[in-house]
Amino acid sequence: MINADPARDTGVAAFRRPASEVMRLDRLGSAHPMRLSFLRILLRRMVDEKWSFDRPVFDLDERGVGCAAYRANGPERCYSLVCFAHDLPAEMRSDRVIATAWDATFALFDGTPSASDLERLAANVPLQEAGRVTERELSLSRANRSVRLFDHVVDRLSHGLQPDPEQIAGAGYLMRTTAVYGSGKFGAADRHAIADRPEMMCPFQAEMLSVWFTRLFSVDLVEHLARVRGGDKAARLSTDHRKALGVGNSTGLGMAPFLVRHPILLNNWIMVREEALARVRSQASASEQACAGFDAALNDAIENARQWHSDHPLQLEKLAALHSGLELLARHAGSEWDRKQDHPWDALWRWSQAALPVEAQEALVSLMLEPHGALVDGLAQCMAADETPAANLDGAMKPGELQALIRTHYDWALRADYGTAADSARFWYVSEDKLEPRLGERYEEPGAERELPLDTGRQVAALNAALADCPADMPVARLLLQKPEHRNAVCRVQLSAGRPFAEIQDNLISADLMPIDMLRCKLAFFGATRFDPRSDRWVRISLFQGLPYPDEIGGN
Amino acid sequence: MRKIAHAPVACPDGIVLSLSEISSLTYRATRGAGYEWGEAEEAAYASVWLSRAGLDWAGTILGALSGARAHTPLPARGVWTAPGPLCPLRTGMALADFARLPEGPSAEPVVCVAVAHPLIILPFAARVAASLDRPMRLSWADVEACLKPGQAPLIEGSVAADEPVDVTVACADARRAMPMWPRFHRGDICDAQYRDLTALALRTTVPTSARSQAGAGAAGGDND
Repeated sequence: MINADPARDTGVAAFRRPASEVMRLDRLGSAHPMRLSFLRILLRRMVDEKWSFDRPVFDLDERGVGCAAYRANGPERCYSLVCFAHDLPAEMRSDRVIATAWDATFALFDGTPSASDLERLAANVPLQEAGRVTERELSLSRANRSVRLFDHVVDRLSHGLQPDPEQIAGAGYLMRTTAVYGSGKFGAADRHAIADRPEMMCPFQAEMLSVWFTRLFSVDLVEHLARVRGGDKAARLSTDHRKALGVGNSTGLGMAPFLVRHPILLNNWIMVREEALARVRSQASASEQACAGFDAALNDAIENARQWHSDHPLQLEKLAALHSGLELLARHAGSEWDRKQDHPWDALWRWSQAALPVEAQEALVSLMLEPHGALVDGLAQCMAADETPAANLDGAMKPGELQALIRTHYDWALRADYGTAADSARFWYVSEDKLEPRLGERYEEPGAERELPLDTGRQVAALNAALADCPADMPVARLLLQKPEHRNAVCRVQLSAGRPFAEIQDNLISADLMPIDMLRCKLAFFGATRFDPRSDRWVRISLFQGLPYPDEIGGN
Repeated sequence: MRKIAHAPVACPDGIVLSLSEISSLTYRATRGAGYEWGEAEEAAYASVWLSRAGLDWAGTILGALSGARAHTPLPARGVWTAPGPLCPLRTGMALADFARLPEGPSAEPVVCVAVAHPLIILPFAARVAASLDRPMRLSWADVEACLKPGQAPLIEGSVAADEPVDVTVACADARRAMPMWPRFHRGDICDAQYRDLTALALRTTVPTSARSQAGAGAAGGDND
């Protein structure tokens, strides 16, 4: 538990940011990956526990079609990514969830698959949603080639040459996943079934492992095709080029409702990050080692920002703010920041609040955490959540108590006027054909009567109005008998007590909602870099770029 | 049946769903049947609980969601009634909501008069047990069910109830040995049940328009 160490906590509390600041959507939408992001947690564990890795199957033909399997061997269990490579005509290549064929499809198998498992997976995994997996599979995913870079790399390697570094930097990955499903989807193992394994306790560890092996597979695939074409004269990808490649990912609105549907998880993720920041700020002094680590991380961040491209006007604005902010930060940290003063990290943080744009302030969170692994890494175990509390609604609560909770945690929800078109302009719904979340215009499109309950602010405001008409001694159980439409809001309000970071504190149906802000928040917790929006609700990112490969951290 | 995404492949013995699929299907089907979203969340919890306990979750939830809408209970000390058969979902939710109130089963047993599909009450009685931190006993016809906080239910008798029955909910002593939850959980559902729940779930979806398709994804293709 985060509050389990009172001696440490007494000092830390004063350095925590309030939820009213942290949970605003524009700030969540400026989140950066950090050492407590899920893919970093996965890699740290595998290094610490000396996992080993091998490739028991690699059976691809001269077109690159076939099957491969990569295995991660941990102290107690092993996991295998089973990969199917296909020959996909260009006209069928789509990163939309509505696609029906891909360059490669994957399943993460729990253990080592037998021949009959592979046969079963070969019949189902390439079909993705139209197939079926079992409790032996922990994730199901697919990826398409980044066509221009993929062809360029194969061509160069086949001639014994290395690819053009600029082209590598431009795309950043050979393949991009278009969906990585876990947690019981399409018949796969439920989260529940693996949540008590130490290596799977943190969120999305199976999905991250799957993507990490997908990165290796993409490199193996280009080298295989280069060998087919060039024979003995074919080159292998240089270590630097390999390192510069991540795995891309295309993501749309399907990811957005997650943060609203999982308030306990959201609270835990943000609380861990905020606790980590507060711990760093509360340090009385800055060690030379920590300062050096910070300087190195800042240099990396400046370099990364330089390579971070986007054509989208919104992102260009944010990138400009990031560039100028990091430049200011580097100047300040290099000359004005007194590293010997009392509480130097807090001084740096306080300076940033007036001097830096939000985008760079949030980057600074990651930079300050980076050299403080010993202080913050243990918090990772607090990021999971059992989301099925046995009793989650207190029916005995009186209207006054609920209203007090609303005043404390939902004042943001009461500020909007949901009767106006601007504050209720959008509605979230599920599309009939793909059962995917979408965002509609309430006053221009049909379907609002089938709205999803993502309008938390409006629901809580309605509950607040209903409570005003209740007798003071009426328990909420009785209100819910008469007005069951308030059950969702009552649950959320009660849940917010003790969970200050459970809600995005913005109106998610307003005309000026930026759905990509929700995506960026979640993707930053995954550890995504190079956030590159293609519209206000669709984004490409990169995972594992610059991080080690299996052969660089383990045996074999 | 309309073709939908995420439809599992049928096999001769019916369909096996993961708990998250059971939850998601029940959540949408309950909303599609006209309940509020907050109630749908509770129904999803109930389906998952029943399937973990190896009970007929699909038949029970489908029974509760289909047919004429039953009545919301009027909680009073000792007896919960309504002008007609009680809605099992709303009765279950109310039992959990009233767990620590005078009208609830903590002080004296509560008889819920004429409940259709009474199995649905079990997961909510489990919540009462957790909330009060003491075992609960449910009985109707020849059925006796014992629930202890955090443990799988112990059920004796024939749980199938075609007609509404009076269900007694009471605190119990803790002497009986309880079964453990199984290590792995899945839920069976037959083709017809899957089709019917899906039909209800589809009432929550909106047909795709050209506009929504265009807005949902990237502007360009993927051949770059």
